Amino acid sequence: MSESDLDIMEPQTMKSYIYLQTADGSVQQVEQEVAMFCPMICQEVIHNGAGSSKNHAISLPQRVNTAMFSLILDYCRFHQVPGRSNKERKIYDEKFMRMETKRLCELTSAADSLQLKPLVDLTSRALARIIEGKSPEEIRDIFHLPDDLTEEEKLEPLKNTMDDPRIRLLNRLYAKKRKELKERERLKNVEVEEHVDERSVDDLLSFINGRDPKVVKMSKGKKKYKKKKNQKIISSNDKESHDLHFKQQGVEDTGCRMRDLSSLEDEIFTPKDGCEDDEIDPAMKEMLDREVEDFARRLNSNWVQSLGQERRPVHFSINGNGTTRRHIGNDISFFACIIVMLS
Amino acid sequence: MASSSWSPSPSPTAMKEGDNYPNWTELLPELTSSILHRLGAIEIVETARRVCRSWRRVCKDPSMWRKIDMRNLGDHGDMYYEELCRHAVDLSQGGLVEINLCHFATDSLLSYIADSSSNLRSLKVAQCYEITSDGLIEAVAKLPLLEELEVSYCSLSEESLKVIGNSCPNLKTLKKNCVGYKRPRDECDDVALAIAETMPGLRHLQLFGDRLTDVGLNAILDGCPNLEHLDLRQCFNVDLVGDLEKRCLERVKVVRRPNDSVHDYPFDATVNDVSSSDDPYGLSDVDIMSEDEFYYDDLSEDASDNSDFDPYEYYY
Repeated sequence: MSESDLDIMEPQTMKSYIYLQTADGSVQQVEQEVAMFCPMICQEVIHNGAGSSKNHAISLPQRVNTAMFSLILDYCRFHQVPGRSNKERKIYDEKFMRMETKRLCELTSAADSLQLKPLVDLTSRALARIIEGKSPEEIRDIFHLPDDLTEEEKLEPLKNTMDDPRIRLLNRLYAKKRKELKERERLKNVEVEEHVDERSVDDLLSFINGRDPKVVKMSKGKKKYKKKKNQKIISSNDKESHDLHFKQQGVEDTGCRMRDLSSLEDEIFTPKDGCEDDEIDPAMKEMLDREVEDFARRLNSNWVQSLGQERRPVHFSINGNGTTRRHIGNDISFFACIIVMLS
Repeated sequence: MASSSWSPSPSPTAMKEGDNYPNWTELLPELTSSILHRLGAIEIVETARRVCRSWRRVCKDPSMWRKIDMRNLGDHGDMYYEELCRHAVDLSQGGLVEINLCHFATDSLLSYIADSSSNLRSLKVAQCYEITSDGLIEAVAKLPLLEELEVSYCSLSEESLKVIGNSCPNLKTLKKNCVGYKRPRDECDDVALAIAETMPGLRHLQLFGDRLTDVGLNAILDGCPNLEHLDLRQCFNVDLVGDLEKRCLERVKVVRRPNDSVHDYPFDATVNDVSSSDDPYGLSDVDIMSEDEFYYDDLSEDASDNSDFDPYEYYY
């Protein structure tokens, strides 16, 4: 049959075909009703009169390569048949979606460029299901996404809408500690002076409790979700789902975990750009750094000694709105929780 | 181990494909947005925005937060989720159109939402035991464009329903579901009458487990001429027969009858079959809070008095 014959074909006598050209140049002829299932193709045919012959084949978008096109055609071929029940369609869709993740991504993209919304929905849903319940690292692995966030960004908590000065203080201390550790990493080869703090625990505690007026007047910091942070720290290193909660009274249970954390510390605080900290008096900075570091050291060593057999998950929540149901029961234990993470 | 810089995955497929991976970057940002949106607000905040820079950007965009779905709560405390919700609302930058809350929601959260999102069209507060009638009324008063409201399994007075009806002339969908009762004696048309009186624009009404009678139903049919969908499952006081049935089916396109199947009902449809007569009202309309785990701390509620407790006694 010559091309001119095909040009003047009639729907009743002959099956109509649409000519489509994929990104790699090959032209395919597809049954009209199947091709027209794609809105983009439909538009081209109706508005631009394209696709009626090999020479006037519709160029498909770049994202639609031959493999994807074949898949899409299968989908269209099935669904364009009007008689099918919803159940049938659903079963087909479920089976259709079973493919490698990479193909799923390509297919979503291809379907989107052809404006085939039902298929885009289907593939999007499948992709969401793959992402659901996984950790950021697992997701990066599966989809080969770059690990281009700073450690700070990865651990970033929600915005602070609370005004609790104790929380701000602790956040400040934590931020200082982090910054210091980053600095240390950078100056790895340089000897770091060890500050020996002669102060007693009581002094430190009173300092923490805000009786030092200088300390209380801090600028706003970010509220941090310690629990979540700890989960991230641990899971990123150990790939286990440690449930690191802190009960206001029972931080001793977590002694064992502290060992994990201290080994993680260097891992986490690798030098990265973009650490923005509020301006603080350098003398204050130094004092804070010393406090935190020393306290952490002390607690860490002591905690390891006082390891208990029992390791029940402990719960910790922060009260922000003044509701009495859950609250910070004790300044000291609260700070201790923070220190635990720092060590 | 967490890596500090991107290194190619050791998996064999990656080796084969070379730079044709990563495929995700080929997807348009708008596709990433719609895919990630399906995860729900919590997972977006907790996970998705911590994957990589491009996802983070997508997750911060206000368009991601026009519809907030607070589902799949983990095991954090209520405060955490309330905080997360506020954060999500902030991210919407006033463009919030739809939100559904769960048990963690409080009056103050509702107020926060209402203050910043006057364009809200859809509000769902099912099983929110801490929300009061007053809190709800106050919030809804600031949401004149509300079209859809769900207040299932909440303690809400009938008077409040009237106030809500009057505050929201555009209300088209109302869902006020509760636990069904199998005791025909226990009748109450207050809810139905309140609706009939103040919500003339209703198209979709779901009163699962309500105690209305034929009187209430008739009132609704009178008061809501545009009703297209009426769900009366487990409303065992309604006798849908004869003229009433005819009238109902004539005026309303889809009617779910009291004894219809509950297979597609999203909540627990266990019927309350209390037969003892010394409990005239049975359980309250609020569902039994069996799933909630209240993290009651062992410490006393009084924050300041912890003089006998010294966590450092171990370390001296």
